[in-house]
Amino acid sequence: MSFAIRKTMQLVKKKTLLILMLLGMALSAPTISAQVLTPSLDPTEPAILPAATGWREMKTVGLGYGEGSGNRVLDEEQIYEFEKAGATLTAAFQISNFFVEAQSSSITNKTKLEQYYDGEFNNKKAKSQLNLAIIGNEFVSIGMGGAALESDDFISAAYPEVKTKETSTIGSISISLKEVLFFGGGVERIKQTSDYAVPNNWSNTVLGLGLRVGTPGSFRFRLEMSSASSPEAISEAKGTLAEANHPKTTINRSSAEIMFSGLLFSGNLEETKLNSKAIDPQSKEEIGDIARSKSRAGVLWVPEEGLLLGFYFINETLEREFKDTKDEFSFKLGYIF
Amino acid sequence: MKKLLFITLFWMLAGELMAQVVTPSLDPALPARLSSAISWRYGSTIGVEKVNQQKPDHPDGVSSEDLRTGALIAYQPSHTTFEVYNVSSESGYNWEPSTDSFEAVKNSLSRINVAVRGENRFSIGIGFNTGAVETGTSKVESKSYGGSFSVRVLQGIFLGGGIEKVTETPAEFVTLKYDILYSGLAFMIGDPTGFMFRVEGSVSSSPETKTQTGDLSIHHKTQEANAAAEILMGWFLLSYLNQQKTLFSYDSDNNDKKDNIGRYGVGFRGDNLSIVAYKHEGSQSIGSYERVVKQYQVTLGFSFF
Repeated sequence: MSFAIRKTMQLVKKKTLLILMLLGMALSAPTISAQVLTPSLDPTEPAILPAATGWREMKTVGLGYGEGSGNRVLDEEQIYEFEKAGATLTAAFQISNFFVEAQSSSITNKTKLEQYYDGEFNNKKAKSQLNLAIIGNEFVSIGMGGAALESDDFISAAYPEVKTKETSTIGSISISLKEVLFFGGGVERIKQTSDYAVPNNWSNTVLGLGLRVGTPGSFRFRLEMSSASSPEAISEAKGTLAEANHPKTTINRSSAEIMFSGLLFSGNLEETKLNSKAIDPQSKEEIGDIARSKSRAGVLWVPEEGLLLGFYFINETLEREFKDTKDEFSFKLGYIF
Repeated sequence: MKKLLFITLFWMLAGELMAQVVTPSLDPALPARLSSAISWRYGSTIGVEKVNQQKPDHPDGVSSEDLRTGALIAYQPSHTTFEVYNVSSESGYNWEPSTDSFEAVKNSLSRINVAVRGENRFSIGIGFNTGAVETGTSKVESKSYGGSFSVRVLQGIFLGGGIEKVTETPAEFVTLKYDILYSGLAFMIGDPTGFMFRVEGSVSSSPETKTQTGDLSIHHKTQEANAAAEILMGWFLLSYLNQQKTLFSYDSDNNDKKDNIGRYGVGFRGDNLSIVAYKHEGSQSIGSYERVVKQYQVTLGFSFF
């Protein structure tokens, strides 16, 4: 029996549930950023929670573009090759103590199948988000926002382009102590629809702690850690649409940045764990954990006013019964008003 | 035997983009290889160049020459520097001993670099390139973008490095992607109004990449090392560069293709005007076969601060 057929048979058993899980995985944010409580010292980076937008110090427009490649390895054998390209646009403005941030990003993936394997991967992903925040007494930032994410995924040969949409509304708060220490969090309510499964919805709760030292033009240091979690959410199958299953998900983010003389060194890490307690109907065993890790390191020139320029190196891994590894290089160009 | 498409775009135009990885040449009309190097320019420049390359060693005695014309604009209003460069061949012929083919070739390269200099101590840059190599039967197009960073320590010592992501299209629906990594060290002191001295050593490398959609297309593993020394005394400029480049397992016998080329330049660089003439001389070898390459180049630049 050929390698491809043997592996296909093993995975068909898990396909139904794993497909549903991967939809959740595929719909994670296409960009990595840890701006939950405070904005990045790179002003072209978008915020995850809108309250972070309130602590921005610069009006900015920014453009980013990146390309990357990677592979999927199963039983120590490469079966897929990936190529990706993506772009981001960010604009942030301030009117009195009111802040507005708009962001848009898209990623296109090309996958080369060196051996046929009934495994899922993403074809295309696009996200837009609008954040509004208001500052009170330089002590608290309250923000609200909305996001829309569209994803096109290969599930199987029978479902090569499954379209999924997520819309979310977000409310968050970030409290500043002595303009150095920040704590807070937020809630994101997500609704998901797809042409493969029934609609589903769940809430994502985020808490974080941050430290930001220094002012624009001087030595600066920023450290932030946060954790986001959402419980399992299941909607039963109906008609021709499959069951929708959002597994219990935990996303831990951390960010460390240092800037001196306008030179910014930035590091971010995002670790996602999906835990499905669903039982595989064939093996009668719990499916268990899926882990994804995304790290990014970059260097940029960030003036007080004028042209911003820099680049990032990004590494991403996804571990299931197979392992995906992707490396990406992207540049940033922006203008600070 | 399957037809192999050897992708040599950047190699063929290597003569236009020698060294200048960490710091720019003392000849202001020459472009930089890495974007962060342009921050260390002194002022803005408009430049043109003419290149005549001769490879007169086809066994039948047929000589081949490439005529190339290049133009450069470097604009440095403050701590931000922009550099735009274009070079294209008017006529050219390439003889490939491994396949015994002899065909007309036209090639072109365009480059845009942007860099910012911070506190006169570091430079960050990004660059974009497009190019094409066109023969009678095929056209290979390429695009690349990259980022680089250089830092000045102890006033005259410069360290730098960068990455360039290249996408080549040797045929319709066929793409080759690979990364070129650069690093270098330079020592540069003085200013163009009096005395300047520059030495630079740099290396770059890229891995082998293949794709087979129809014919096999291949980018060979490539390593390049450059060493340059230049001196400006008043208005008199002397320049020397040595480039060694290797394309591994180049032919069907797995012989490497090696370039060993020296560039000797002498010229004039005043406060505004510069004229420099160069002679490139060296050898290219594939296995036991070796040929001599000669190239003459002249640059003309107008600089303003």
